[in-house]
Amino acid sequence: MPKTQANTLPPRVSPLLAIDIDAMIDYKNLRLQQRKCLTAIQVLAYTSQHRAAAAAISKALDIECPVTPGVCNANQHTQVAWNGPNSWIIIASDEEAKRKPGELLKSLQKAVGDLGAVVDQSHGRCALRLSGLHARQVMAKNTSIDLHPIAFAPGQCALTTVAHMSALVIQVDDTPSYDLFVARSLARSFAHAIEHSCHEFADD
Amino acid sequence: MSQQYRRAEGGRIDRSKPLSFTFDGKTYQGYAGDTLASALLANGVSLLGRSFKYHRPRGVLTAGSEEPNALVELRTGARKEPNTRATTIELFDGLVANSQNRWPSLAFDILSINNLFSPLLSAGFYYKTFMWPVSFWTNVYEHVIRRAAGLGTAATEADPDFYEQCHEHCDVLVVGAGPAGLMAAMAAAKIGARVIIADEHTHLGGSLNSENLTVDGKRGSDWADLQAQKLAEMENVHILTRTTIFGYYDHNTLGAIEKVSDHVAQPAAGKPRQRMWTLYPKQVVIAAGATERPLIFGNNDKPGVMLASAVRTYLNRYGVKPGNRAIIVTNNNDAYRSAIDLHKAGVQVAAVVDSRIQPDAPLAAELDALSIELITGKTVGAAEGDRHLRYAQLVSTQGLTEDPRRIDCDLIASSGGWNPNVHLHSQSGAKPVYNETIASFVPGQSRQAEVSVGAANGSFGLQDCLDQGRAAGAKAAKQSGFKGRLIKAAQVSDDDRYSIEALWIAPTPYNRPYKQFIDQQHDTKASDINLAAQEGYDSIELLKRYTTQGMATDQGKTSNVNTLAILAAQRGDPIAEVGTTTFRPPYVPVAMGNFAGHTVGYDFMPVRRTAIHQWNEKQGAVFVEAGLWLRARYYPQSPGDTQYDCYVRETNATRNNVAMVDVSTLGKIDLQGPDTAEFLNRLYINNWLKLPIGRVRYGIMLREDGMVFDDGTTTRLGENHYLMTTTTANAAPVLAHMEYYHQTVWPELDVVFCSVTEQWTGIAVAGPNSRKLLEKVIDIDISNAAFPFMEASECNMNNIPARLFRISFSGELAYEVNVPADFGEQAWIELLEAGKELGVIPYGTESLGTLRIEKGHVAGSELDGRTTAQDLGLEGMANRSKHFIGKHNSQRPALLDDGRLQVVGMKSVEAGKNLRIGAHLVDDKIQLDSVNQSQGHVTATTYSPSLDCGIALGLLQDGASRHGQQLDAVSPLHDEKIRVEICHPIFIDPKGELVRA
Repeated sequence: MPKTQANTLPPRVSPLLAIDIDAMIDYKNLRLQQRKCLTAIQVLAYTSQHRAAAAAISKALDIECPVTPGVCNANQHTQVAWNGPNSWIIIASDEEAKRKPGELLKSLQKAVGDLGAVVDQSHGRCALRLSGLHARQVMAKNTSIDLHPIAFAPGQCALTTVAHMSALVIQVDDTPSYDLFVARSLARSFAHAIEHSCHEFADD
Repeated sequence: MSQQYRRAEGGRIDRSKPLSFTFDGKTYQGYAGDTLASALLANGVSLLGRSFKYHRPRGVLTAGSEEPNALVELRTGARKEPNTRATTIELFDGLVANSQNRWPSLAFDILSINNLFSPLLSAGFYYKTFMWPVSFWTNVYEHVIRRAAGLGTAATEADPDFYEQCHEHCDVLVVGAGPAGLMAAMAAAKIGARVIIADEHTHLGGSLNSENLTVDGKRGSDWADLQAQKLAEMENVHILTRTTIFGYYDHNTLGAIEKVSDHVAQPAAGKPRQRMWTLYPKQVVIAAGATERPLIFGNNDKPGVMLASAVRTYLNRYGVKPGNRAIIVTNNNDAYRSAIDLHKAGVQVAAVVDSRIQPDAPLAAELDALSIELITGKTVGAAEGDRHLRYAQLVSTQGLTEDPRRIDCDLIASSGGWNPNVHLHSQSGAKPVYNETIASFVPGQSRQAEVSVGAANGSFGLQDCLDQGRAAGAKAAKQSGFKGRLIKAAQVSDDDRYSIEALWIAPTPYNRPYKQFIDQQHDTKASDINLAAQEGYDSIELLKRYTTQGMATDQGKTSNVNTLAILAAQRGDPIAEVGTTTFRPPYVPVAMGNFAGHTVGYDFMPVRRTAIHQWNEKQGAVFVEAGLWLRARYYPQSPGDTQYDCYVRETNATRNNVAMVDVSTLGKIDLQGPDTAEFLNRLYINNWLKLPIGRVRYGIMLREDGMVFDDGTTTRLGENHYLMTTTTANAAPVLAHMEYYHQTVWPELDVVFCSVTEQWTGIAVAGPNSRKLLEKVIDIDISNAAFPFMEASECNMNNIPARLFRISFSGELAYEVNVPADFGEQAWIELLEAGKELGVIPYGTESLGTLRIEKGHVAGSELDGRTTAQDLGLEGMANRSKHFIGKHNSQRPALLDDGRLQVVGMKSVEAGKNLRIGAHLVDDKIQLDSVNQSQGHVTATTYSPSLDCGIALGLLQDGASRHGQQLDAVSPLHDEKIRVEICHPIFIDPKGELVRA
């Protein structure tokens, strides 16, 4: 029986490593990048404990845990996105995830305790960040929700279909930048569809 | 001489940008801003095509998307596009177009002989003529007719361009950017609403670009440019040019087609050819204008006969004189403008022929001042000429029988009045109503949030258009929740007064029979309408289908109202009572590619890949589609390895040594909460209340109707923490089933659950040496005593955090390792490495299938939605003392009857013969081709390397009690009959000793 050494995890291999990373978009006014070392934790509060769970998350992360659909509250370390009734997806910033892997999961497990389920989805999702002047136009080709600044602004999120695939969309800033989360298995198809929609802005 | 019909100045064309193009092999010059039709007319080309049925010469009737005649094949090769309207094709340098439906040439077309046989080609000609014999229809008639009656031919190569879809929401959508649309957009935008304004032309302005009009003291087209510029500068306005709103659907959703790259030879890099927009406005202002209808007279399809408004468009917008000597024939005021504009352009106007006795006095005076002859109470009875118009014969509209007067001309500008474009209004679910004053249909009561303004509303005066647009735009903005000030009105100094006295059909000279075309694209004549009505097809819906009027690609834009009027006259009813047919999308033809968008070829469906996919690709694995998933089917190890070679090798490795398979696609659902065990107990037929932590149990779920829904294992990971697995196919349906019951039936159960399928890579390690392999990499004791069958534990696999389950689908000693997916490929490679000296190999789904058939595990082909637990031999699992989904319905008498299909195994008793899926199980006394004698069927087959014969699972009447019997497995489709022996479905290790070893 082999002995396991502490803190010797092998490197993570993201689902998009299989496609040519250079082909991801880097135009003057449009960027498409993968968020690497993704740390995404799903919390599902027990019905009887949902208020306490939201309060515990808010306290642990120092972010107001949203109870309104379509809201994503964030600070520089963490995003907390509404993910259904009594359910949230909590994402660590890339820097944080790299610096302290596993930290977010541990702190949420500790905070939520018996108030709900804390489920690691870090390996189950692929996250792309689409950013730039033309990002909204690229999104308009792939989703039917209204992303006009009046209707959708930083701090908002949506569970919808993007390029015919189920996705979580979070608007990050006014550039605009969007974080797009899809199932890991769909990552290649998804990235391909988004990239394709970007090409017309190559020289813009 | 080139462009001999081009005016020296004027028009929205750029004379400094000459463009060269080819029509029917001959090269011509045009200018930027031209359409193909205007450029051809500028070059004196008036013959553009042959008609659909009679192959009559046809020219240009209109200047817009309503064109029935001037259809050409645009471009060549893979980009060839047939039936494209020359009147809407923007000219580009190097454009190539060809006329269609003619042979050998446009000028001399053999099938124009059809024109002589026209009495035989009347309404309902197909139905009447090709009735007999029936078999001739598909074999002979259809081919002949398709060749003769024709449109262009499609490209035979794949379209090299792509299409895309786009979505946009707004407060106010303005359809059409003529005077009314521009005012509506400006009024709404100034109040603060999000506005989309769409127009099918390159330049906004609509009729202002085609007419000599003045708004706010400026030339109409200059005023339009100014408005367009102001709108473009506003952040809340999105202008879509070259965009046609083609459909109005429920929930105020509209479809539009943007011709992104049709005005260039080929799309720029990254640009689609066309883009389909789905628009979601709160309010719609329809400023779609109106379409002029032609007068119906003899030979009214002759090249040289044109709509009066089209004449003005060619003169004013394109700087083209459509003839040298014109007459104007009309029943309304509007066409007088054509006479005046032609005169100004230096075209000789022979006469204005007004069917009314009392023309508009000021207009008559205006003609008089220009010395243009005005003839009243007469109309054109027939146009004469060979391939082009030479003269018009006038007739009295007052029943007088004087000698018809003849006027030489090469252009007839005809106006039978204006039809508001009520198409979108009708598509929105509303019913247009007939208006006697303008002798046409106008929008009726709105059914959705839409309003029509200006000409689309039957208000043809320019001041009315501007005012209605302004008011409607402001109102729409306010209804969308905005408050603000109304913009200043635009002023017109001298406005037209539109008035009409309908003349639906002209008498013919000497009452001779002339062809009077109504639907020029489908060659439907006035006589066809009358004949159809006489034959009893006098409802407009029947008549349309019988005569095919309005069913061509132009959807009868220039012919529908004329048809109604002629039918009404034949029936002796008012037009309002005849009603209209329903307008349906699309308003203009839309290329199919737009509906697919970019989801073609590679992108037709998303593909799901496991974390081990890339490794599999590198190994040259052959994949199989399982829903959206791609799974490794088998692994060829050397060139020439067949599927058979591979799965036999992989199966033998599993039975005799150790092999591993990627099972990441199985559904995985994480359940937590104090009531989880109770929840599981209600979902599954078996017991779940006493499963110890660290143990796995196999479970069966039923549907409400008592049929088996899905099977899989569930593991208790902690006090209130379980992990359920489902079949690959039912991963989403099972989760939805659970959500439904939790949300609506048992909300009181405190349990939460979510899919973790994507989080984990699953690897099954199977075979007698699997423990030996895993002992090298797993950091817990997995001896049989410490880690028995159906045990589960968290562990590490070479430093990778993992979950280990001792479960077996193959029937061998086996384990399943789950690791977080980003480590999946690493774990796979390390397992292969660790098993190298044992000789481990990967196996695919083909071998997986063989192993499960040998073991008699039921799967999707047996869980076909018609089988009960009893049918599958799993009834013993059910705990009838508790409640579970499907419990009561599973006890319905018919589900317990004798004679039900039950799962069995079977062996081919004919050496070397494998069974076929779907083969029917019949008695040997039954003939191969007899029906209704099937006693069951084969559901899954394989060659069994372990038994060295063809084996199968199947469903057989009373199968459980028929082991040992022999039957025939027949497939009449393949003319095949194989003798089988029925047996227990478990072929291997029926006592289950291997999995516990």
